[in-house]
Amino acid sequence: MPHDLKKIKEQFTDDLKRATTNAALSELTTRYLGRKGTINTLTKELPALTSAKRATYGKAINELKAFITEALHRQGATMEKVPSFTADLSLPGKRIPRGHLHPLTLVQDSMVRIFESLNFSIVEGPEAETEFYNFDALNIPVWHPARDLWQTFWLQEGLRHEEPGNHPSDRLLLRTHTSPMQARFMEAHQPPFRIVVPGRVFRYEASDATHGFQFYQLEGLMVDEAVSIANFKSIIETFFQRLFGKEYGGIRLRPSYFPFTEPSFEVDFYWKKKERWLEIMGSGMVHPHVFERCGFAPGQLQGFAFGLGIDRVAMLKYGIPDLRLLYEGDVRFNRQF
Amino acid sequence: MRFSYQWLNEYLTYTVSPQDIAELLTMHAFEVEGVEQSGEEDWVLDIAVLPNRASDALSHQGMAREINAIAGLTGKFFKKEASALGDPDEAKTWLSELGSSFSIAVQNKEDCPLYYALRIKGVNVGKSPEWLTKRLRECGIESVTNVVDVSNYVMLDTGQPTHMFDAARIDAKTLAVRKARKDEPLALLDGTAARLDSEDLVITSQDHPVALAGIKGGKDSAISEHTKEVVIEAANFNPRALYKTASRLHIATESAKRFSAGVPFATTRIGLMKAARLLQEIAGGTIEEVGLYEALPGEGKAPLFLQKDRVQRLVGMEMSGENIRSPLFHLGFEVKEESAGVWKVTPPYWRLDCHIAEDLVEEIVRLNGLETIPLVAPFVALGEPVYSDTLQWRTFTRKYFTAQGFDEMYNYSLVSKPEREEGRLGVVALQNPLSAERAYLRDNLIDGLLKNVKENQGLFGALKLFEIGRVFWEEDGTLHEEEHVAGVLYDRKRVDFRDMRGYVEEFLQACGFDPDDYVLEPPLHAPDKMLLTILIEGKECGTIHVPIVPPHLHIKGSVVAFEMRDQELYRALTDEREFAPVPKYPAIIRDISLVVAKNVRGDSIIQAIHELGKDLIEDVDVFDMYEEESSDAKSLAFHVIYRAGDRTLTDEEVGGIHTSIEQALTTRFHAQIK
Repeated sequence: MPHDLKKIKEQFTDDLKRATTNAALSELTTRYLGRKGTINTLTKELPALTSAKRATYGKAINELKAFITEALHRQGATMEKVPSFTADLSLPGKRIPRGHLHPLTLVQDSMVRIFESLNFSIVEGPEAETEFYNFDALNIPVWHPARDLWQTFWLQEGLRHEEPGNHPSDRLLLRTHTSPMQARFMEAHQPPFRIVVPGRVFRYEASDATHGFQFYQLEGLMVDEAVSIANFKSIIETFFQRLFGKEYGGIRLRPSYFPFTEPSFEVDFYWKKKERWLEIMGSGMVHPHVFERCGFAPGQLQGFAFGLGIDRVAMLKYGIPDLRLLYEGDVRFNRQF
Repeated sequence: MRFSYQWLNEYLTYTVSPQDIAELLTMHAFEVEGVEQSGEEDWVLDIAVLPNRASDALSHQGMAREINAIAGLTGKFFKKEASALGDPDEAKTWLSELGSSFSIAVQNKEDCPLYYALRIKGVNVGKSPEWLTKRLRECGIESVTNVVDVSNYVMLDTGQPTHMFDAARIDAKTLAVRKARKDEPLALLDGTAARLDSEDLVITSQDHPVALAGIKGGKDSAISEHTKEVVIEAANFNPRALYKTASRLHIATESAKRFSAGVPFATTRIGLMKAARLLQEIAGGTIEEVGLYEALPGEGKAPLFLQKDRVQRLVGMEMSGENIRSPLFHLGFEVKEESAGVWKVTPPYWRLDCHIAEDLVEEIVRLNGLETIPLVAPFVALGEPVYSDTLQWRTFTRKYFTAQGFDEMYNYSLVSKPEREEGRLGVVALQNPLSAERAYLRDNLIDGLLKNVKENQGLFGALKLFEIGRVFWEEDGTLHEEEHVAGVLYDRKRVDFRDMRGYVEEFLQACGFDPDDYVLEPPLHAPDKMLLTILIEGKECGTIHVPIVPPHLHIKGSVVAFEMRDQELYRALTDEREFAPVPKYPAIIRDISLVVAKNVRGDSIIQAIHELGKDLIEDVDVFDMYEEESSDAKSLAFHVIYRAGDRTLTDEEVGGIHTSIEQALTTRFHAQIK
């Protein structure tokens, strides 16, 4: 015979009144709604009934179940406001392990993103270069004293380069700057050129806090029929403004000399944080000889090129006092970024 | 170069302070790296003169000329009296009045277009006067004797290096300039022996080398306290040949620096005149005879043509004719307007660095002031920027590994000689390493990461590190360069090989490979090493392995590493992903725990379970593995996930299959089900 569902409902209401703790409420839930609970037991009686009775009785059971569920839920919600344990929310969170990107990655990415948004392409070149691309193509022949400006690591004799261009017999070296990509890119593409080239470079130089035999540069090249010095100033202002944000206080050009640009400039940037000018990039208008070596007629093209040290910018931005910290692999250093 | 303010001031035609000079030069010509007071009356300015201007501005006269030009154009400074700069015509006249008593034999006129030798008798070698030693000291040169000091003073004053021979120790009349013979002996002033080559230029007396031309004098003919007669050499050598010799022999003298850049012909005569007069003034003596060689090179300069519209286009602003003409005029260029907007410009004799119109544009913009150029955003045709795939994937890779808790490292590309391991290709050496520690190019990244582990193990019980970078190797005479990504897992206690395999496999899948796109296999030649090669489309793309740690690293704990040729991976990616419906019906999970012999491959058991369960097995996941060294057996435990695509499986159905799988494993692998 079916049970009196009304009685069960009354019994439940009584029980619920007495359930004042979370534990009691949980026990009540199991007793009524659990696998072997009241509702399930009632349901098991259904198959024994005639089909007419089964329908009404089934419906009543479902209504009772809904009532109990809802009542338990409501009671539970009020009780959660009175926690039965003391949680010390003042304690710090669990230490969640996180990997850290290297500061040079962070700075390089931010630079590259700015130039990408200015419609520059991002390209890369080999770290082991031929003498031709590192020097001759950039108007620095072997007899030129300007070669002393780039102290060079030479690779063992008798090696061929994978991509020697038109100069397969050249001696190999570790590139001293990212500028070889100016020539490699212009040889292989059609103007206009708008590229930046991030990459690792090497100098035959003893290390100290601000010099290393290995560091990163970002090379830039923008060439068309009439890209001017005035355009250069505008582009790099945008770049430094975005790179340094509130710390940016202006740029200025000073005369300089590089064999592959004419005129050549040093770019200083005014660093508001320390209230002084800082030399930050070498630059200039691409030398006509460089265009000629890449196969362009004199007067056909003009534009600017620049190179800046990524390590130096990272040191400025993060206040890193010694270049060597970037490469010495102290995990405590790397985890600060 | 260090400059004395007083010395410069003798030639300055405007009243400018040392601080004015620093400001004017820095913004218009050269970077002034220091301004220091020297004694009560003088200042020393440290000015960086770059190679293009070494031929005129590495001298007080040349620097004064530059300052005069800049100060003059500003119109802000008062004019003043000044000593005259060296006059080429005066020097020429002086020389012709001296006449010539003998000629110098020069083997090749390109190597040495001008050579003068002045023999001066009755010289008193001794101390220099105080004013002279003070000026030299300010410029960083110590006083030697009055004769040698004169030579140095003239170089710092005019830019012309000269050399002083003890006339008694050479035969002046036989002085000659020729290429050295290979391995010919020559003891230099500093006591070293030059290793001469047939490209080097030497000065000879009776055919014996007495000086390395333009670079350094010989020891045997040097001035001493007994010197009574002096031969002053003032010559002009070919910059190219001289630079090659100086850089090959690593001799960086002040003389070599100037000759390497080229010295104007007129400067040679001006320097000689100054040296002769100053020597006689402070050490006495009379000119006995003059030896000379003059190839009479074309001293006139070819004019350059400058077009107003080209200048404006390069600079990017409108300019008046005066804006263009005036800076050049102040710098001593001869400027003639040929037609409207076209000038014929002839550089002055001392400027060897102006060859093309762009060189003149530089002179114009720097003198006018680079701050006068406006900022103008360029008009460009929008193009599609190429953001190289390499870069995109590298960014993705970095994000993956940092998200998994790996810290990124940047190690040095230069390493000590790698310890050889079989199978490695040729390492590449540097010709001129800084030290033995940095004499080779790295051919893998793991070695660097192991060093990082070594240096950090005292601070951390466990480490996860990765690096992306280029490695190099040599094969059949070709240098190869390739980007790799590598990582290490370190734990002071124990690292599970499967953890690293998990990171790598998850990475491959994050890139877009399906589990059946790649194979992780022990290599055929060394199946028993703790090493798996990563094969994609049959191509080896990397390894996961327990590295052999060199004993000197003293790593306490265990390490598992991987290294991959990441560009090779990216090339294989087809970027095809296809949607599969998420399962509609519930899964049933049953475990199998078994004990098998150690030599039974775990992956063959998993494969067998899949086969035996046919389509109903969705996945088999290893959740426990245990083996002891003392035993030949290992225990393995798997979660087997059963699911049908078209219905809910019942316990009975799964139970039946599961039991039959367990039985089949027992027979096939001699496994013992637990």
